[in-house]
Amino acid sequence: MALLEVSDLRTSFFLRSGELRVLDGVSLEIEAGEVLGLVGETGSGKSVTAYSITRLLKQPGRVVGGEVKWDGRDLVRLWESELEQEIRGKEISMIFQSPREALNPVITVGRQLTQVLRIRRGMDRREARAEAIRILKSVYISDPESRLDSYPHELSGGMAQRIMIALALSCEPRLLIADEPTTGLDVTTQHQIVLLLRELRDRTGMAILLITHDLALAAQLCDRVAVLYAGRIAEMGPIGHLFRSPRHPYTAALLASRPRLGLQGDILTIPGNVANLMRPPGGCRFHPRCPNATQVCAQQQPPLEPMDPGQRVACHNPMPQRQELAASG
Amino acid sequence: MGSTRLLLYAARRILLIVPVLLVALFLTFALTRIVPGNPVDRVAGPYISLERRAELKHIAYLDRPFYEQFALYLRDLSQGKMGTSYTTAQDVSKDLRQRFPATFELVTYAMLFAVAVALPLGIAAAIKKDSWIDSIARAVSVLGVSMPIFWLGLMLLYVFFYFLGWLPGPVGRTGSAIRFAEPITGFLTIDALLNGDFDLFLKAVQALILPCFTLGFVAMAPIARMTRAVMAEALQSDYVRTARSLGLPFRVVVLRHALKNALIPILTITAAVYGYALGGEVLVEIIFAWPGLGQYSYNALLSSDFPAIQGFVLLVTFVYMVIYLALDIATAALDPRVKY
Amino acid sequence: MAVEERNLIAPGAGLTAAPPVVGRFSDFVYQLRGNPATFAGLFIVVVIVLSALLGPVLARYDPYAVDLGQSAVGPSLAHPFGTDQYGEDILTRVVVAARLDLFMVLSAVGASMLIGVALGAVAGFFGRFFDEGIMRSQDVLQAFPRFVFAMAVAWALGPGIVTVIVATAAINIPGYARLMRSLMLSVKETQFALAAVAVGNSRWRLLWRHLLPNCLTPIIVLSTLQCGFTILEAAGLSFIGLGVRVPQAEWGVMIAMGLQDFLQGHWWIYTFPGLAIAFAVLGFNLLGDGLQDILDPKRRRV
Repeated sequence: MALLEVSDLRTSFFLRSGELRVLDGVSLEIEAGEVLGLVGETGSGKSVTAYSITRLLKQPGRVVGGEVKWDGRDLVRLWESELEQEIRGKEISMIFQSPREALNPVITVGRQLTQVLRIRRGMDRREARAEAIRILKSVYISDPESRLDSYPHELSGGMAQRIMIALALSCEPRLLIADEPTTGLDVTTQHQIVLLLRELRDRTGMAILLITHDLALAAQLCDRVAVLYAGRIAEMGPIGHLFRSPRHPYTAALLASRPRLGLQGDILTIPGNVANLMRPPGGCRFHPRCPNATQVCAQQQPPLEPMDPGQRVACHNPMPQRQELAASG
Repeated sequence: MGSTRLLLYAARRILLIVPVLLVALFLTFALTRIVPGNPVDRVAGPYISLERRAELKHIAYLDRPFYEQFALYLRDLSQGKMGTSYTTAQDVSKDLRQRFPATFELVTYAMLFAVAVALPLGIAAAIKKDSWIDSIARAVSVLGVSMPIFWLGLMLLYVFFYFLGWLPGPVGRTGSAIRFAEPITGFLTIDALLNGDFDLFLKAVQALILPCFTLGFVAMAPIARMTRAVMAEALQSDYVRTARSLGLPFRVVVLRHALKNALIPILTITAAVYGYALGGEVLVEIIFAWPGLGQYSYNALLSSDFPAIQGFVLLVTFVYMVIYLALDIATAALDPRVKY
Repeated sequence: MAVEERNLIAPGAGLTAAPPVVGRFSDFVYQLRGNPATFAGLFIVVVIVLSALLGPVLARYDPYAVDLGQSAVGPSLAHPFGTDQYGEDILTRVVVAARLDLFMVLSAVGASMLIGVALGAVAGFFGRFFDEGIMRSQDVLQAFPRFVFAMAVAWALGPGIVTVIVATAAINIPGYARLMRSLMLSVKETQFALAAVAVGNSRWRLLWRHLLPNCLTPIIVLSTLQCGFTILEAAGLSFIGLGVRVPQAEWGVMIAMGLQDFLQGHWWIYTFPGLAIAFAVLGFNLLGDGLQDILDPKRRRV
């Protein structure tokens, strides 16, 4: 059984001007120890998916349907207190974008860390301090003893992100949800964080849900990738297959639009704008921008179906499989 | 951060009070001299001989140039003398010392009441936004800020004293009790308890209820409103989301994460409200015939008692400055982002 | 996989059209409808202004007509708000007082706004000496508790309408100065200001035509709220006897008159003027808060 099984998750934001259906039936699963990437454009609903799983959506968002099964329990239907005491931190942890804003500016980093250790792992002051130092060392923070007394605004972006990772890992969760963890960091630091996450996964065996718009980042870290468009999964599969033989036209277009060395001519773009989530297009949400669109695409939403070579695709007219893969089977 | 640096900061700020205080003093002094005519003529009336008039003017330094008067005032001030009151014939500093405890007790209890109600109310309203408690908090805030304090006092007095007879009327600190307690702290309530005089304690409390509530209700409103606003903002912040994502109990998140951030704006508005209370208590004392600084200043204004008015403004301004000094130091201590 | 005959839909079809541009006034009305408190505030302020303008004209009684035979009569059909000790009709006086109070308040707020904004703009725009000097002077003004300072100024100047205006204006100036200064500092560094300078605007033109209009919104909000507080302070001064004097029809004065008769239980003499004050201040506060919500893009109704 998969560690996390999301089925037909629906989340909406209730604005005064209407209901914004941000997630409209998202289904995915993560196995223990695997790294699943969730990629998509801005506004596709990636972060909202993460917050919906742990029910940390900001007002006026709300989960309106679907299931999130963790160890057989449906997180959507749990009491808030159960979620707080049993799931968050202990089983599922999160790290966020803009780490400096995600840390409390008036409390030292050390206090924030030891507070979690004392409250959630029942340690006393001495134990917590020692453990905090150990955790900081494990995320490669230099001079951890004095780092404990720093405030978030005194940290660099990369260091703050490491502290966030330290916090998230302090209760030894089985799943880490990383929401755009490298956005805003410089390239070198991004690379370091990626390496760190990889090492942590190898060492602790925890699973990671990596949310990003950066395909290259996904390529470095993920085992499988799910592509999200306008609140629905377009395609999902092992990363190698997806990159070499994308079946969904959107995935293909995303891959084709990456700038490459030696590229001649204009960068390929996807025509049109991201779907309006207040009044989404009928049928397949991508059909207004899709080169393969036919009549049925405007009428019927395609279901997510398994397709060679080992991917799942939601499309009426998927791209043909690439020849070399077909040959190798 | 270091506590030595904080102490140095405090010392620097204390020193800075002195020049501001001097300028404020000068301003007050100048204001009293704008008044047309001179104090002696205004107060003494037409039936005093010219010699006596000149003599009085001489005593009050009024026959000297302005700057000399100010210098002499400063000299007296350094010796603890603030000039002789025209109405009580004592040194103004003595008057103020006698009147201070009554006002201090009133304002302190009122502010304690205000904070004790405003803080939980604001926090509860922020947690349960758009609930019934939020509506109450908002209604109370907006009403409290809109009511004239002297009108509220009169209304309460009418209902609870005149109409229902539950509480004593405007006769001062002890209601109908004539006895007084040995003044130890100046707080009648505390002194009564320390003296073992429970009956006096009850009477003092009864007399305090209405004036404290009047002052406190108006003080509570802006504090509750600010608390609600900053707590609501803090609860929607990213760091609160992080704390919740770690499974920290909500109580901890609210009190140890959100509130810590909200504290500084709340303290700031409390200091401002204290300043408002220093003015409002004048009105409250007039209505409730409270024998404090407010009533003293009211009588002084009516009888053109220049030294008394000056002394009152000086004292109240000094207290206000001390409050703001405390606020500055507290802000520096609480917020690590402030440089000092 | 064989390629089928397809009925391709051209890419780009089916995209929703751009939302229509909404006019500013209709947008304002839309915001108001979603915020009933603000609407109530606006309504109250309009009522007060109308009373001020039309009150004396529509009044049934002369507000200063002494009629000792009708002294201190409770509310009745003839006198809905009762009469005071001199037999003057309170309803009439309350309505007439709106004119005086509104006049004083608008003058005071207007004066303090002009002076404070000018000081703050100069301090923020020119900086250095001007900034230091102006801000230190505001520090001194703000060292006094507001009402106490107003009392001192009012006492020094002697009772009267002008005194109330001057005293209440004086305590409002630092608020405007500080706000304007911080607005000016932040707007000075914005991209469009730098662009305006790059294009060749002179300093004065920059200040007047580009920077000031952008600082307008918070100033308007502050002014609306200040109107409310100033009503309270003006009434307070008159209540003590330092402002407008008996027997003028002014809300604070009327409450003072009510205090005189308190022990006789003539509650109507002070209750109705107080209600009028509370009502007026409530209106300005609701309106000011609502304007803040409407004009601050982050808090609008979406």
